[in-house]
Amino acid sequence: MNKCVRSLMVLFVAVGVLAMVGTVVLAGLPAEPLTILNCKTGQYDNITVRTEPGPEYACPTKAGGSYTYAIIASPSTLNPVTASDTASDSISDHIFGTFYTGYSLLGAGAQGTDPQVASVINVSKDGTTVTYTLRKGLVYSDGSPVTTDDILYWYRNVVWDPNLPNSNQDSFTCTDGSPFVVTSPAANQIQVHCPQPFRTYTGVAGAMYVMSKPMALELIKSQGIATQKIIGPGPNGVLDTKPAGDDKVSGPDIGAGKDGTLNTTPAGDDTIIEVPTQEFLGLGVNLKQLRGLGPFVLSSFQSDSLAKYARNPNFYESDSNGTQLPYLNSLQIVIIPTAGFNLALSDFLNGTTDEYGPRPQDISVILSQAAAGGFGVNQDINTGIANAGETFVTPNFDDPDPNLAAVARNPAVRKALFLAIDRASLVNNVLLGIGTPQLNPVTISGTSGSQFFSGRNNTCATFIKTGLADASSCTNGVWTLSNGLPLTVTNLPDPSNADVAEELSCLNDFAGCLTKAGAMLDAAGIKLGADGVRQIPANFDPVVKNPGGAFSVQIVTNTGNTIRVEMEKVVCNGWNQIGVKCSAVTTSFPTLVHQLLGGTFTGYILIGLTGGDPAGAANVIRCGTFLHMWHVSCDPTATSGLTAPTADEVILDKDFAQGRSATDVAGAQVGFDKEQTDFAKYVPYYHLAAGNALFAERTDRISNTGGAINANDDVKFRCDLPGQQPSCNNAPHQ
Amino acid sequence: MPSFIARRFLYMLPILLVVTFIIFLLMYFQPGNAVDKLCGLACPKELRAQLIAHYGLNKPMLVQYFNWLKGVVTQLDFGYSTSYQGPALQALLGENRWLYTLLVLSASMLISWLIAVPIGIYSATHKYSIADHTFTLLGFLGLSIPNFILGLLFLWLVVGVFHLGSINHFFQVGGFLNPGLMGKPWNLTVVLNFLWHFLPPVFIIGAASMAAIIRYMRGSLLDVLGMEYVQTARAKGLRERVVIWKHAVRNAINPLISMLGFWVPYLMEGALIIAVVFNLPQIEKTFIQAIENRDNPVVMSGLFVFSVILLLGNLAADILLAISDPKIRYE
Repeated sequence: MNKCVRSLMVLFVAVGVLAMVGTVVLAGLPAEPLTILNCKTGQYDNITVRTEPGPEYACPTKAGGSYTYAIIASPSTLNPVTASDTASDSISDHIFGTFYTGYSLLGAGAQGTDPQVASVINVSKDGTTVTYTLRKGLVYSDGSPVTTDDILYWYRNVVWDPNLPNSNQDSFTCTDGSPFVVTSPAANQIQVHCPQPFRTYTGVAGAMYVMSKPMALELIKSQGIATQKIIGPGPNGVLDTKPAGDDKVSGPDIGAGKDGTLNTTPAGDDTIIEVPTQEFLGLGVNLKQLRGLGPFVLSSFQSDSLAKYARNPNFYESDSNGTQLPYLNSLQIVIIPTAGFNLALSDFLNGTTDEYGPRPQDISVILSQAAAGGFGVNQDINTGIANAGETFVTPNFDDPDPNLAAVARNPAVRKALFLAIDRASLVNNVLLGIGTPQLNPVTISGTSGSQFFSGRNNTCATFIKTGLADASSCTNGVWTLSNGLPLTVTNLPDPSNADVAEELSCLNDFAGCLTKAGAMLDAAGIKLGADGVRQIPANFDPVVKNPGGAFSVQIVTNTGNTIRVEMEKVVCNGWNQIGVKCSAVTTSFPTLVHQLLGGTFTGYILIGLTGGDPAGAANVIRCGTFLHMWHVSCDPTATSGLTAPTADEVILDKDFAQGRSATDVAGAQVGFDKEQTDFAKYVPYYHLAAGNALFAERTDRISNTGGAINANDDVKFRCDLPGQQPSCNNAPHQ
Repeated sequence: MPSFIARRFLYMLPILLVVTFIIFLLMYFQPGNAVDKLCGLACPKELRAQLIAHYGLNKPMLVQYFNWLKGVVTQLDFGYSTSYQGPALQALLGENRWLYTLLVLSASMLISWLIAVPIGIYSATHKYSIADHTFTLLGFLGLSIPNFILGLLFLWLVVGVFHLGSINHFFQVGGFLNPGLMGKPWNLTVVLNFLWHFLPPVFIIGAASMAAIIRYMRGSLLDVLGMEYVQTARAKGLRERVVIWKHAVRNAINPLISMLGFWVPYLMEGALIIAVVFNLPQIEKTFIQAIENRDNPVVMSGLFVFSVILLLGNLAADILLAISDPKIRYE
């Protein structure tokens, strides 16, 4: 008996020791490798949807070097969750990984998912639940381990922190308006659930942040930032508690109401969680406290002049030669907040930066200087493809000037102002012909979102049939305007819709549209005064109850962006011609973004939004979302008053919901086509023109690039040329 | 002398107090406040009320002023920068901006004096010579050309005409170092590269004051050279060098020293624009951005720091004047 017990004990001890040794060995193993770039084919392994880089890529045999580029606005935060401007994204993307491209941390693309931080991705049969299994041994740049608790913390305590309004809350929302239910069914698994599947669901869910929870807690503590208690869902991911007193539900949480006290007691498995009361990852943080999964670490940072990065020694990707990425030893971003494009061009010409996103007028300067100065530059600076995204002027339904609020809320006035913008002139004179007029928010043809552009089936015949063009002005799919500007008809919306046709007619007959716009304002009761300025009648909008006065506006855009400054002038020129007194001014980019997101600004803002799949505008089109800039105070639950959505907002919401909730492309096209024609009818904001993507690069220094600017995809695969030219000359841009 | 300096220093305190009040009023009466910036128009009322109470914006103006002053005096706390998301003074002076500003201003002043005073003396002692006419012409040019034009001209020459940076990466422009050299240990290359970046803005900022000093020095010395005691010195048979340097220059330079304090704001004004043209990480550029961003606490810190620099400049001028002219003493 004793012998038997002893033998069993020995066996148990032996198994225990083996298990312990096994655990230690496993824990000591490096991260499960992710071979991201196949050096033989130049293609990315394990990636289901990717269009670039193409086969012309090959891996350099040596790593090293540095790379520099410039951005023409200063960042406003290092926190990718709260960032609402591309300047901030440009800085934080390299540290924390890219959020918005097809290369994001959990492997999200708008049209699918790729194994990245997650090595396995499972989608349930009904398409409502996505399960991500994290790669083994994954560590942040400081060597600390990645856990699912990190993901849950950033989702529950940061993304949904009521004190940190951010755009992600709109994205991480199901089509019925409920927040994603995020749980951790196992120590290495994250599960995201929605009641209904939708076309881009797996991509959006996969864009969840994988950032360090200990880092966040350290930052909050070291800066003495106060925290606030709220009730959040427990392990089941669902809020079981009902709010008590004046407490209210916000996203997946319950927070204090007007009395500032949390009156509710958690029920079920819900827990009280603490959220920071203000931004904790701002520009002034101690860089030593930062850690991330991105290819670089921020080694020094002057928020208005330079960000310098070093290689992340623990970055989890490698090429098929076994070389750990990124290839570069260091990366620099020169920040030029005030002098903008002009200084950025000078920096590029003088060799300070390796790449530049030029203005149309810079192309000839760059090419001639390259020839004269003896430096190499790609000759295909004009990619010929329109930039994804939108450039627009937005009115403000919440304008502190009640007269301007009143006219902003009126669709007829908005339409009149829309028609009085000379888009052909914008393209011809500001973009020097290198662009396309833009009439609605859906990304125009030639880009990844082209399948949703309503004019995708346009032909010259359809333009001739509507009377917009004749056989001599439209041939082979190109409509040549009276001012000589050639336009590809598939880059224009479908002219079979009367409202769209009216807008298109302005491209060829702007004078006629000015007359139309004037007549529309007359019909609305906004008549010309003796001084040539139109007068807005008192009580023009019964909800606003405006006092009446001169129709005088200012348009503001960001300092340093000379393209937008010129666009302002063209817009004002048209508006002045119909008696709307207009002036153009500039301010800093962060101020502009702040104003756009609800600052107390008066007048109109000219700015741009990045674009792609129109479903991505979940944070823009819908009333109550973060970037619903023309009516920031819009509350979808309100039925009357200034915050209630206007009739046209309700219609656009419906169109967008139809497009977003579809489960296939054909279904989405129906909704987004409707959205585009309704944009032509109600014009909530005024689109201007889309310039082509322009990209200049020093080919004497860096050559194995893909043309994308500021994206980690690109930067990770680059190496510097000095002394290493033979290893890097697999150049697509020669 | 120490008691003179101490008294002169004490005179600064009430002036600074008045300055702080004016600064506070300027910012107080501006439309909008920190909560507008932090929370926006769509800010929930409860959160807005919480933030207003948190930042003490619901208190009477004088109470807000004294609270702000108390923070400034006791903790150098100028408030919270909404753009930088941290202490306002840190936002303004941090990332070594104060050091770069101090370096540029003092180097500009030093270089402009070192070059301008001897030229002014030479012009005065060689009145109406070709050299005098040349320096006079250059002086007027320096005074009349805004320094941002000089800055742009320099960039055009380096980048557009000589393609220096393309020929050799060492000659990149903008900032205080080539981005690739930032953070590297100091060695000869880094030092030379720093000088390549540092000296052009220093000379350009100093150009206007250099031109003015030449004109002032020339005029002042010409006045003094016509005085009887100079003729007496010459009549005594003193060597011309002694007459000029020991008797004339020492008296002629006093008005310039008294103006030293007034050069500081001119230099700062020049540095404000040049910091933008050359993308220099100085407090001036942060100050401009804070104005654009309506980041009031940083603007207030900036105005305060500039006032302090101006007062210190005047103090330094008084001390130097007291040293150079034994007659001048405050009682």
